[in-house]
Formats: sequence, structure tokens, C-alpha cells
Amino acid sequence: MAYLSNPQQWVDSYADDLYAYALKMIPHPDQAENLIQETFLAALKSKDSFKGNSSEKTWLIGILRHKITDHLRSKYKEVPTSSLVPEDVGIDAFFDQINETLKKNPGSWDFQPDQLLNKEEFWRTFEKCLQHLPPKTAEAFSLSEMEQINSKEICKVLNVTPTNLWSLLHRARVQLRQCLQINWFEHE
Amino acid sequence: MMPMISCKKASHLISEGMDRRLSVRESIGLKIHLLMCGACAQVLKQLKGLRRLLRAYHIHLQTKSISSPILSQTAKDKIKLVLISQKG
Repeated sequence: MAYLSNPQQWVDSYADDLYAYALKMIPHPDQAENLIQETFLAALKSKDSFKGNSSEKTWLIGILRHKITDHLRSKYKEVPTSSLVPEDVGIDAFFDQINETLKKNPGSWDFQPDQLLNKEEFWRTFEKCLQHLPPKTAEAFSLSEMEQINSKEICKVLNVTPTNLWSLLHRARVQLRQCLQINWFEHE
Repeated sequence: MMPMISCKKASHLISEGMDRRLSVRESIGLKIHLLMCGACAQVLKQLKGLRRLLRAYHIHLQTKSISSPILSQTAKDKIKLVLISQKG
């Protein structure tokens, strides 16, 4: 049987990493905390099925990822698609009303991905920007850009049509881009 | 000849082009717009950069440990208690 460390130690060893992961998907501390707890509980129940093909942490993150999509699926199960807001809400403010040009110059982003990866300050800014989006908009973005789940699957999880999903993602990108521009790149 | 699309329309197409295959008409309309509009071309570049960054970060989160604890000790203790109570 593959070796797993004592479940008592899981929390000290992995809770922070799992929490950091969960916050990028569900940027609400209390919900993220609950998901971590559920992950550890599920891991405890299924620890005999740990095959040792991956590290303990990868195994736990795998469970967390399932918990996150399950959480979203049940959250949106009962919500009919038609309750979505019109597609340009949250977008119009960025464009001139008459000629539909961008109101603000986008600015230049000069960054090396390798340098930003370890900059926790940047990721805290990113989290805050994500938090400012309407929940479903943020969740659509995280599922698509972080989890890289395909559109068809995301539509099922969030209970939306592809057209709805594309406008959620559009809104997320426009608002996140602006938020990062103002709160990070302009200050650099 | 197609009229030039607006920045707002271009913004939709830039984003949707990251999620689905644009039609030939949409794709040509967007390309022409991007040739004439530096601001939208810059936005496209930024969004593509952000996508690359997030993909790298996703791997980073799964493989590397974060450097400073972010979950409170109280929350950790609470989870530990729940785990102990489950073990029976």
C-alpha cells in the first residue's frame, strides 16, 4: 500500500496550500475554508484508495477540485438560466456611449510570468479583483482560466448556455483587466 | 465592404475568440479593427498574457508551497478537531 502521512499532520502540511488554491476559485474566505475541511474529511474516508501515483498534496488538490465543482454545481442547480443579467451590464461603463471606443488607454503590461508567479502581493491583488466580480462571473472565469475546464463542462456546472458563458467570461476579462491595471500595473 | 467594427464589438470578439472559434466574418472584422486600433491590440496582448500567467500559476499552486501561512491557526485547529472526531 502506498504511504500516506498521518492525517493529523495533513492540516499543518497542506491546509495553507489548499486554501490558497481554493481562494483562486472561490474568492470567499469562509466558503473556501469549508471546502478545505470537506476535502480533508473526504480524504480521510478514502485514504485507502490513495495509490501513490502522485504526491499527497496532488492527491488532496485533486479531491479539492472535485469539491469545488460539486459546490458550484449544487449552488446553481435550481437557478434557471433566464435569470441572468443582460450581457452588457458591467461592460458599458468601459466604452464611450456614442462611438463605442475605449474610454481609457489600456496602459502597458510589461511583466515576466516567472517573476509574478512568486509575488504573493500580486496574487492577493488578483484575488481582490476576482472578489469584486459578481460570484458567477468570477467562478466562470476561474473554471475556464485556472482549471481549464472546457466550455461544455462549465456550462453544465454553472447551469448556463454557451452564449451566457461567453458573456460572463467577457465581463470577467474586461473588469479584471481594468482592476489589475489600476491596482497593480499602474503602480509598478 | 464591411463597416469597421467598434471597440466595444471588438472587445466581445477578442474575448469570445479565446473561448470559441470565430466565424470568418467575425475574424476578419476583428483583424482589421486590431490593425487600426492600438488600444484594442494592447488589450488582446494583455488578456493573452494573463491567460498564460494563470495557466502557469495553476501549475505553480499545485506543485510549490506558498511561503507564508494564510489560513488562521483557529481555522486549522477547528479542522483538526473535526478530523479527530471523525476518526472514531
